[in-house]
Amino acid sequence: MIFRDRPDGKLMKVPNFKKINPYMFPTRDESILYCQDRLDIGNAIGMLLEMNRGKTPEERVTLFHVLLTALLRSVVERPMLNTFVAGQRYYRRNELSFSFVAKKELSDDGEETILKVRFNPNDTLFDVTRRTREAVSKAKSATGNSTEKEIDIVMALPRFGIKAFMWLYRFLDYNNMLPGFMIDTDPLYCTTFITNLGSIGLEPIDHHLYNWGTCGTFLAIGKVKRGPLYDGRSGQPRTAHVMDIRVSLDDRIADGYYYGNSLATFKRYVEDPTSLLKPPGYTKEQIDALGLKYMPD
Amino acid sequence: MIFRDRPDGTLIKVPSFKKVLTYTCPTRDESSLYFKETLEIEEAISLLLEKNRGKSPEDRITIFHLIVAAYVRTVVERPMVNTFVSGHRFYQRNEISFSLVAKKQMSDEGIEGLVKVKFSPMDTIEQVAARMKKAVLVGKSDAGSSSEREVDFLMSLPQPITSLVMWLYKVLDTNNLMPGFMIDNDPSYSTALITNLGSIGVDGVFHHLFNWGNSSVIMAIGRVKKVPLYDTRTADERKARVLDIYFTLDDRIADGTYYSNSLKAFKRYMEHPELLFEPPKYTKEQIDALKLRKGTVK
Repeated sequence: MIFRDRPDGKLMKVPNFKKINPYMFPTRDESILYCQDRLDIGNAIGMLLEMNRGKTPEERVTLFHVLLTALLRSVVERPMLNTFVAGQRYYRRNELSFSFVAKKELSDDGEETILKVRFNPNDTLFDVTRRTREAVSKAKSATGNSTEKEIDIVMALPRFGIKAFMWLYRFLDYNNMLPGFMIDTDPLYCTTFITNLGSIGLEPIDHHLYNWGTCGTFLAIGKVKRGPLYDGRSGQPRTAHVMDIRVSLDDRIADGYYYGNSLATFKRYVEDPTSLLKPPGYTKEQIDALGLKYMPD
Repeated sequence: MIFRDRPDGTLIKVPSFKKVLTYTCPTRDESSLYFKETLEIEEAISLLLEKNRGKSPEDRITIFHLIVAAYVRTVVERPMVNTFVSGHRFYQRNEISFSLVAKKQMSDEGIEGLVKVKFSPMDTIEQVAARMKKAVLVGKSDAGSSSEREVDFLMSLPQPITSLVMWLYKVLDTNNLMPGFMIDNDPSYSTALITNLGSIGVDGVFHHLFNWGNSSVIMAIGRVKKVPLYDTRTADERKARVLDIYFTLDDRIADGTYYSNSLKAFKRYMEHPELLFEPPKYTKEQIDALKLRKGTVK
């Protein structure tokens, strides 16, 4: 390692008990925890119906935006979710970014593209919606984005050329010598990767984590439906609008207790989303603890 | 790569965005998607009860045959699920073949083996069942398959030699130099690997994909059970017999939309099993799109 910090993160000191993890489990795909939960989205649906009344489809705020904003708040309040392992060291990511898939056309042949969107910790639901919408419309444009053009160039090489390029990329990444502009455009370097399977009528899947890049959390969202919810104490069922989610987590970056509380925070925001409409009012200490370098206006 | 096509597949051109996945996720096990689907099988059970009336156990058509027959049709109609990655390249498999787990004896000590069964795109469920029964009989026989004898020989060698042979096998496979007869015998080279855990009373597991070979799909079938189902619009409860299928899929060969539409095709056949008793009416274009090798299935 030539530099102490990475272009996308600040080196963290962690206890030895945690430091040994990347040596015992060097790759992300062998460190995956699979978690599932059911969210009560009755309040969110009610709020969105009222907010979207009289608006065109392009202007509407969707459930996906609510989930993104809830996740954003959860990451700000639970900053360990924004840490990652690279080159067997721990870093705190210096941006809040989510990546997700957008299809240029919703068909079997429609080309798929992944886009990365950066957020400000003080974003409201409206800011998140605006940033997401701008990124999607840019990615769906026929001209393509810069990542796609870079991929086209590399993939045009013969197989040994591609392998040499990818090996060099991984080597530079591992040793913290990868230039910032390459990380910047790569969607696999992000806080969380999200796939909205509900949008194509599917239930969520357990997704693998990518060894490529630095993303330690993968969130798969299922379809909206009415279903039973059971009271944890009495076992009494009640019916509600629900959404199942599945989350794949990197076991090395946080323990079960931390992940459990983080999931509870996320759930609280989704199930009671009115606070997402207002600026969160985080203190300077809370924002500083995130160690952010890039904050979009 | 000396040859363009493989003995088991035809090279296909894919967009750069897809090609790069074989470099960011080089192995199948790090590209796995796990998906569970619950299928209502009331219709299928009634139909099979009717069709099997008066038949001996050996002649009966089972739910397992029905699942396989439904998946054969799915593969024909959704050919991308019959593609695979090998040596960072994408190929369209030139046969429709499923590998099935068969135990020689139903006990803890009973030896487990995999048998590969090849199907024709025009197969009806009766033909599917006949092919499966024949292959399982061979798999369960004491003579064993040729693949088992090869494995026995390889495992009797000293460990460094075994490792060397396995390494060489992988090098040949990655560089498309593997002779066709070796692939033909190996059950890890198939459209899908199917394990019927329901037959031993287990409710299904998410099985890993094999880095060895080139199967892109694994289906683990759970047991038949009666459970409450909830209407997704009204949340009304009703009880029905269902079966869970645990799919493990290679993320690199198709995207979510394609897999989702393929699952819909599969579910349609499971919900309308009577269609499987009729020969399918596929067009020449549909059959050509599968790029099947001639003479693989009699």
